[in-house]
Amino acid sequence: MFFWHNYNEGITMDSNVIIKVDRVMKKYKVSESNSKKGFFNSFKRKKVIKVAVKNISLNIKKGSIVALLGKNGSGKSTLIKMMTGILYPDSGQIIVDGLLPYNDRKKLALKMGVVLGAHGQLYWNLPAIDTFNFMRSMYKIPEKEFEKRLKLYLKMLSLKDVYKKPVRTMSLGEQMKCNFVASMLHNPKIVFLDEPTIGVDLPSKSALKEAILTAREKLGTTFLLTTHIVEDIEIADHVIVINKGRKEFDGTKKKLEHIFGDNRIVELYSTNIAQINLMHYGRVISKTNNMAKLEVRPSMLKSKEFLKILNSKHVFDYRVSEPHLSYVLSKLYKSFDKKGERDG
Amino acid sequence: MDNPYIAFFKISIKDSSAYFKDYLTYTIGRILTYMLMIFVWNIVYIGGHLSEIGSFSLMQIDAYFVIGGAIFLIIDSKNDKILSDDIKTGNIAKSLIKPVNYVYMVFLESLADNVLVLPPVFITIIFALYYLGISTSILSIITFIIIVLIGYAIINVIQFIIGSLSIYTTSAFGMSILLANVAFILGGAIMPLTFFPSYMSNIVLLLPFQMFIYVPTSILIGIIPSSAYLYYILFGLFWLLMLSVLGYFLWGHVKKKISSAGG
Repeated sequence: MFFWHNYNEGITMDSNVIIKVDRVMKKYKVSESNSKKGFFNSFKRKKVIKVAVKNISLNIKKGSIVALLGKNGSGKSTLIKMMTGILYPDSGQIIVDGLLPYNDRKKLALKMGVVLGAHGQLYWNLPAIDTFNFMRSMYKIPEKEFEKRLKLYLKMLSLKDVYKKPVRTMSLGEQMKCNFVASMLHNPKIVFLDEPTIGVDLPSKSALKEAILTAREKLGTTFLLTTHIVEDIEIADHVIVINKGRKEFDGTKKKLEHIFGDNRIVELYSTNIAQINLMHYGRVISKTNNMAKLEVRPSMLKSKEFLKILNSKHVFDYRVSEPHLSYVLSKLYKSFDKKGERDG
Repeated sequence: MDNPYIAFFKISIKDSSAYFKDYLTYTIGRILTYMLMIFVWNIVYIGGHLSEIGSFSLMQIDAYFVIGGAIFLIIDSKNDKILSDDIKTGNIAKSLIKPVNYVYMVFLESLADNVLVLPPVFITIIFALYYLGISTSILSIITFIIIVLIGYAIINVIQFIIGSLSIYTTSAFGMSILLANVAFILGGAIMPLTFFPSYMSNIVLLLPFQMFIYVPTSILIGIIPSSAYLYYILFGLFWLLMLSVLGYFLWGHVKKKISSAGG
């Protein structure tokens, strides 16, 4: 395999890798309120060191779509902000397309697009076209190229009737789509999308996903997105899960489902549900008079005892399926909570 | 093709003009303050049968407050607020993802606000000179412009330092109010600095605040002689350099401590 060398930092990278994160740590000092009762105690604040990112290492391949998942406060946005050069890591190293983000922020900004969900780039009182024109000047995009790209994105995201309206009169979904356009106009090599579908309706979500897939296919753009919305992950070919600043999973969606969701979901339709000892076979997810939903181990599906139940005359239908990704993730997050309780 | 900074300046002016009504109300408030100053000092001169106080005639004191009031509208910058808000809300992130220098953007955004008040300020100054019959020279006008620019740069750097300090204090609001009042009093907005008791004016005349109103206005109305022009230009540049060095090192430290909202 071909390797290239970053002479500035002495780091060797695989030529297929566009982002390399190497043992990165980031700590914050935060004020915590005093839990003691009393008037004066309510003014006292305790300084606490919070480790937002703990020793994370990862590689992101060129042209991939990577979903960065984790609960609120898990360190996702901090990690993205370090990759984009907004924050300095306390230790460790990040290399994005051969550049150190915190030292070469301006150079890197020319190669990347960023949509920060809560902090849009659009000027609130001006039409989105003013921001787009500003982007054209800032990234020195040739006039003809700009017109071509703008036309393409406006069509793809159904923004033709919207982009000349002041941003403050736009819906949240329209604002998100315009923010996406603003971050894509200079054809960036890497795009960071921090919760890009907050408050976006279903057609707009589909349009955004379509635009991401098109950009990846036609331009080879790499996307790194953080999200809480399971449907957004569908387009990702790689998933990274972090919890309390630690990387807990790094692999494909299939692998995630395999490790955390190898159990199967069995829907059982019977005239006599009450007489079956469901808990003996697996975890009961839901139950009505004639239907039960169970989570069972794969080995259970092969056991004679369970097959006997499925084939009994009272059971008139059954269905076996793989758990949905949302179920896998909620199970994964619950396991984090339990681990947190155990660790105190 | 536009330069990115010119493009940013243009869009900032466009954005600021959306708040023009707000600006107009604020400007009217400022004008009322200065009209009050003029009335008070007219009462002092006429009631006390004084032809001159501290080398200022009544006509010169009227011109001092009209011109001083107009200058205050230009130098009333807001980059402490921009920087402090950006740090406090995490909005700094959306500026730091752009391929431009963040510090220049803060200064340009603030300048875009001040540019909007330039036309009424020019009209006011020309009106004051013509209506009150103040004779001035080309050299005085040129020096006046240079000193106003230096004063503008100084207050911007001080505000930038205050805005940067908000990383340690959460908000720069208290310090901004303190600076506004110090600049108002020690800059010569309430009275010419030579009216202060000598022990106080000796100290105040060593500080950079006099570059905001007292020095440029006194140059234009002929209180400061042309022989002292170079001294004031060098004095202003000295303070600008000192404060810029301080701001540069402080920002170098602050940008490493920035922790944007979210996580």
